[in-house]
Amino acid sequence: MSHVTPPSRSGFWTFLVRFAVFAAPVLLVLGVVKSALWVSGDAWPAAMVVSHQQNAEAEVIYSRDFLSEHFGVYKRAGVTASAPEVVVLGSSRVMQFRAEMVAPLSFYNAGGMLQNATDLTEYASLVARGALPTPRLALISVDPWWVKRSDGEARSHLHDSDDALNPGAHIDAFRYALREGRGGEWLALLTTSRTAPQDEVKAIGSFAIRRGQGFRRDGSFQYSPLLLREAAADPRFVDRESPPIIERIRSRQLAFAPPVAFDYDKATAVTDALRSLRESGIEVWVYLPPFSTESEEALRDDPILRRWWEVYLGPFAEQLAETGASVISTPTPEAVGLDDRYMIDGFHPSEVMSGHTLLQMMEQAPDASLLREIDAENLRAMLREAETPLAFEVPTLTPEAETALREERQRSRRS
Amino acid sequence: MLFNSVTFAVFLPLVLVVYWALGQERVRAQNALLVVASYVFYAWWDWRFLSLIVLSSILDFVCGLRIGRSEKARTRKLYLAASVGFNLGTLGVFKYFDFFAESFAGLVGAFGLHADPVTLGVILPVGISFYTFQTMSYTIDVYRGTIAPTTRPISFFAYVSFFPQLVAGPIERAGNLLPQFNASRRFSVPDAKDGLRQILWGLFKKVVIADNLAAPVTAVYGDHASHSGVALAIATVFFAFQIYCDFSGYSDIAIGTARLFGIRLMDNFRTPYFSTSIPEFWRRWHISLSTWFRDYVYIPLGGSRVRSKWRHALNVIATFTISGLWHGANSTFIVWGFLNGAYYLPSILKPDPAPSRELVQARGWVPHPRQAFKMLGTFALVCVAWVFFRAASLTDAVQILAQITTGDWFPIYPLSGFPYIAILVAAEWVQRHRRHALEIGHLPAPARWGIYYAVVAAIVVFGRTNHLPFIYFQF
Repeated sequence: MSHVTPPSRSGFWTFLVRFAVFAAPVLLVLGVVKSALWVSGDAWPAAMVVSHQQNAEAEVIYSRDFLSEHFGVYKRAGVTASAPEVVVLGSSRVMQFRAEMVAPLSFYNAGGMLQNATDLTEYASLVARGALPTPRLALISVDPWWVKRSDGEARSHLHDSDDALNPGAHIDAFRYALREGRGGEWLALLTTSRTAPQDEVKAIGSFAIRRGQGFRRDGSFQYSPLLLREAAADPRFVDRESPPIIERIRSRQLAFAPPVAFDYDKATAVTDALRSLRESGIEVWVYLPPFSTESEEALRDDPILRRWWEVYLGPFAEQLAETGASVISTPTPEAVGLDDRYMIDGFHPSEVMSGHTLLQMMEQAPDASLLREIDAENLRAMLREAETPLAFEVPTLTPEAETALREERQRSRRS
Repeated sequence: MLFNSVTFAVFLPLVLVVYWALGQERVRAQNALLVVASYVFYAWWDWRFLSLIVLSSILDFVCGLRIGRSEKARTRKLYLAASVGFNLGTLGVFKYFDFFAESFAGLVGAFGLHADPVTLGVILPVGISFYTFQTMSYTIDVYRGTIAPTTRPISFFAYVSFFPQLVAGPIERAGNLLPQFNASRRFSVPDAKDGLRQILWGLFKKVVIADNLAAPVTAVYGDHASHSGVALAIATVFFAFQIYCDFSGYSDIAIGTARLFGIRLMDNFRTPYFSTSIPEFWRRWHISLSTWFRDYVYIPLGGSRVRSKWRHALNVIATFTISGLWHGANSTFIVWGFLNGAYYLPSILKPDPAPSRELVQARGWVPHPRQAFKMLGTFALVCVAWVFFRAASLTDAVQILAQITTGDWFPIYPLSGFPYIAILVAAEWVQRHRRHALEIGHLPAPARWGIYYAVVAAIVVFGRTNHLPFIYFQF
């Protein structure tokens, strides 16, 4: 006797097959979308990127374009994997401290991982609990907006989730690319060899591949070779941020937007976190990073911003020092004997200026400081031989690569 | 788990395959699978509140049985009270306690006395307003003798927790849904096809239209003082379409998904913005809730069979005000409900001798000017009420209405949402006699497939990049 399949079941399977036929082109497109992200490295999880960078023989820079960078996730993976003796913490304003500056000590630049006082508190807590490695020295940059009153609670970036494995984020990214008319760029990623435009540099992530800009294996940030070459040709100060920092200050927008007042609760959170880190046996240096001269003047002259800025530089810096941490305050490049040419923009110091800052710290450091173990001669030589105010060495580009980068920049500006 | 998430796109096919692989003869196994799947679906959001659904299901199942088996009026009333008391009590604690405590403190304060409100600060479990109403209607119907109590616990649990409509309806009646869980389901290819079309249309409405309108609405309503009267009026129109596409989009996905399982849910929306009067609008907007309030609040209050027109009006206004409170513990919702009830006054005090029961203009591509005028008038009244629904507070709502009527004309921002609205209105007008705008099974295959792919492409390209939750989840 033969078995008769119930009509409902056979109907369902036939329907399923027809639906699969309908869905096949859609799935094919999604497959292409995902493949491009994978081949370029945009969809590599942070831990995989870090592992690849640290095990490579030559420099590998990393920067995504179509998926969110999530500094917190990437830098946390970097700190965990490298377990450095010296760690640099803070926002993007400390990203120019390099591993070669602190040789022979091991180093990781976690700039971008801490964006506010909540992040610092969370970092200190993770170190105290042993969830993050304990460095011997932490250089922590504290931005003025960490102690500025704000509406709403600041969230910690250390627990962000990585979009690399989030299929929804991939679709969102593809949608964004299509809407921006960049579908062709996306497809081109399928054939990429993951090489940066500058010589002998490998890249992970579509932005690093296209622009030669991204995070180095030590966590520090590599600016675009085109920017560094143009700055070498004309070293005058240009505020390259968009909108420029001076405009942000004058129009009181973004980090300078109302309510503008010093937040004493946040200041206490910062000092509590510093004490906690010191109790974990870490030598703590607090860095108050510079603004360009014109921006700092604008801060001092603004009737509303002035008071906040003064408390930050004065009483707050004293409060920081009372925690036992060493404080290095550089309101402008002049504080380390330099000028605005050493600023990438209105509030990002260059690698050369970061080197000078480190040298000044070493000169101030007590005998027991770990900074005494740094090869000072090496650092002085680097600073002496720096080719431009922005870079120790100007990257080399083939004429074709330079043209491609210029065209890419034009396209980017148009979009 | 959101319908507009990748997780759901994986979850649904998996459950479907297992469900139909079990075979139509294994109804209990299919129901058990639906219960488990529904609990997983709900627990994805917050597993702790799953206990409320389970508790509500057990209690109402037992109460239903006891009411059905007992002949003593007192016992029957006792079990009905237990069911209604538990469901309304749960709703009261989780949804209204803080609101009433704060309102009481405010009232006392108005008399110069001071009272610190005792608030619980609990979060609102998703879907609580929907499943409590659904399960409560079961015991009420058993008590009334409209339906017989079920003796099958798994079927009843599936009825309470059926995941497509668990968190935002349609609020089903046991009389419609429960028999479907007791009988064997046959997989119907035409039904499943149309279910998928309805899901696709629901997704389009949610992801492309509602979510794209959400940004300008949030921007304007979030800072209404800085916007012109015209901008506020535009944002209000956008909100009218945002909430419609958001909620009816959810309902379409729910109904379409249920059809894939061989289950028919009731319609929840029938092109409501083509209504030519407020009563007609409420026959076409959130039908499952409107009929729920009609059957369990309005009619018990006396409905229209009362001595005076004013008492009738009072019944309508009371029903709508309670319906407003159902939407949220906020005075803005109460005023929204009251206002919609008040809109009924003209039709109650001076009834139309020959009211049109025709839901949509039957013939013609273009509405008759008189009908168009009525449609626009009805839409305008609905929009005025939406201002209260959307505003953060009563003060804001009044200010927004004042700005719309007396405020500046410029700048006219935002306009970018109008193309989405135009597409929606055109599609729904052309398809107004059908259950949803993508009911195109009668077209030749190439046209159908072309339309499907166009809609999928529109979702991919024009859908919003952030996965906004459905508005009605908050209720």
